Amino acid sequence: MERVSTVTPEVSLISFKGLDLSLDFSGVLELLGLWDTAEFFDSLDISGILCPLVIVDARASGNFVNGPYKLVDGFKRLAWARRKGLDTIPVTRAQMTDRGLLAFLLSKYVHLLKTCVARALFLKFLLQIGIDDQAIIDVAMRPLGLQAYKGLLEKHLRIADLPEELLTFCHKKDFSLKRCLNFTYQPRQLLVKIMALEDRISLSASFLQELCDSISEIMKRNEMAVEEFFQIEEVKEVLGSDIDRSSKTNLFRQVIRRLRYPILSKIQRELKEIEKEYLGPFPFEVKWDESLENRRLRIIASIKHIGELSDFRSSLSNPKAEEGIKRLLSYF
Amino acid sequence: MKFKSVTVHPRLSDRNFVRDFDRYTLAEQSPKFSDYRQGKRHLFITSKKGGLFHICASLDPRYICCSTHVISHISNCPFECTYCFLQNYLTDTTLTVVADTDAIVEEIFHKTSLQPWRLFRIGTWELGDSLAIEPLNQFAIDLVSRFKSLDNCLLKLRTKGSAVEPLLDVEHGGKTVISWTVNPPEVIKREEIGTASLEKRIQAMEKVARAGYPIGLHFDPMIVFNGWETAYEDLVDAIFSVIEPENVIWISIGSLRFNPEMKKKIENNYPASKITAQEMVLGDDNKFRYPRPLREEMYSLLLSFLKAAGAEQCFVYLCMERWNVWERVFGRCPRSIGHLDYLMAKTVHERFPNSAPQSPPKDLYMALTY
Repeated sequence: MERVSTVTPEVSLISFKGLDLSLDFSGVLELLGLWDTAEFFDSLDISGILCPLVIVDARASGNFVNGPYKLVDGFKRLAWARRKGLDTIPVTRAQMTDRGLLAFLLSKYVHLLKTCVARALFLKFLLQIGIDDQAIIDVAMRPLGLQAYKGLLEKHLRIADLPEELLTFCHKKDFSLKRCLNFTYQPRQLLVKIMALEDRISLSASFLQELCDSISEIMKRNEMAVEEFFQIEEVKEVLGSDIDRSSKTNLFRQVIRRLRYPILSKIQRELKEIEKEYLGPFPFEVKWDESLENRRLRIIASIKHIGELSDFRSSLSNPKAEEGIKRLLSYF
Repeated sequence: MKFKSVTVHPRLSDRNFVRDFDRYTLAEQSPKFSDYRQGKRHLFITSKKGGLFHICASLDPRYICCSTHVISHISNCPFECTYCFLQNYLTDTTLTVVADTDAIVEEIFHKTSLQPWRLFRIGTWELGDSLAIEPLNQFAIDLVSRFKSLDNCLLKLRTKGSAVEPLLDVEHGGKTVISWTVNPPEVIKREEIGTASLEKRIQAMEKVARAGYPIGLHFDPMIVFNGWETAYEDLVDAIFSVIEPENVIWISIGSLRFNPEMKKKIENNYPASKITAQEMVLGDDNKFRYPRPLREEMYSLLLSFLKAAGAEQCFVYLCMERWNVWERVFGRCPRSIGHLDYLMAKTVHERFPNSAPQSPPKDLYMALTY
């Protein structure tokens, strides 16, 4: 088996001011809620630093470690030590090849990378620290539970470039690769704008998708910019209203649907008016195909007593009901 | 059209059309491409394996379908229409042509002779354009010549191109219909990339009409855009200011439709195209279409333009539409798919007796099941 890293067992104290911290992934972990720094600092306050930091000596390494020393493990311990005003810190100096470092980072983080977003951000991080595509494909993708091929790496990198607010949302909801990828086809500005609505409307996974699809379709159809869409009177009115979050969400959904399906919405309104005017008083409901494709009305009666059956029969032959049904059918 | 590579099956290496290619490789297998666009640049000419003759795959009993038959011997197309279903259909995208006329005609003859009373309209456009691969037009010529003697068959070549010259001197006996998919110049420019302009298509129509071929017109897919109404009126005027309605055997009308997976493909492959951004509904056949009221408006308006252009004598039908749409557009609808098949055979027999010499037996058509 290839030996990928050599750990020098001595623990030395060095000045950490010149350390290269570019291998720090903890910011992403915090963003995703996978790491709680405050809690960790509390534990260090009690126990102090028990494990030495790990640094690599760039001179003994491959092409991506450029500084004299790079910290690979212990970023938060270092931050705590800085906060405490320490001058020195215990470290282990390791010699690692690029692939050895990659294996080390994987062993450190892989158990945390359970969602598509977390994996995407980790893969992007690996590229940012200078590990080449092929090494990532060969070494990192399978341990992350992914098939090792370039196309899949590229898809993850596209996901990693989504706006931060959306990434945390997708991570929390544990969205699949396919779902996350769908967002990558949407205008970035639109995604940012929609995520900014989160404090006013309830965004479920399906509603978020519906909003993105609908708004980008409306914008494209009408050659409209994102800001112009949010200036549409009905949209502004709903989003700026004082109603509660749940009602606002429902109302916003209705407005979006009206704008996306203007023809269907108009005809549905007309059909409902006919239903109300002609069939309102009768003891049955009329259902039609809301896509307007099929010419088929379903007449539904709810009967509790046998006597109600004759009411239903006679109501069906009422000229007003017949006229209503005839008018409804004329739309199909 | 310049191909990056041409591969010819060794069994076809002695065919005339092979000599038209400067360079080609002999191989039994397709070079196999998976990228839709990449495959368009690599031609594989092969021999026939298995059946190629069947009824149009779009046939769905929930819609009225013209029940045309097809020879699926072309796969992929050098043109690049944004709405083309092939971008979500082909596994091997290599532009493949089965150029084995004898074997194809034998299969057609064998299958169509089982129903000698029936007029088989047979297209070659199911998975590609009939006349887009110019070096292979010799193959189209062979088919035209062979169809001349197939009594109950009518060959349908359908194209968005204009390469008709090689067909003009062929003895066709009225047994080949050359058809064009037509759209306004705005749509051709934006959505039918690499195809012939409307002007060139109409010039080509004029040439084949002079050569005595019946012409088919397919206003399909009709596409909505700002000013579509005037654009389709101008389109009809442009065609019928040059082409006599007497030369037009049939006219089909249909609107843009695609399945949900295709929607994503179109948006990814052609991000500038706006065709997927229009209001659409998902039909029973899992295809998005414009809402029915809009489709009816489009068809009715087009029909009025056709009537105004004197084309009411042509057999006009809707492609893949619902019964109620037929009723609302035409005021009537065929009673079944078999009935439509009969009506088409009847009109061809009456208007183009050379194309369909025998009178169609209504009862047999009406008894057809699909």
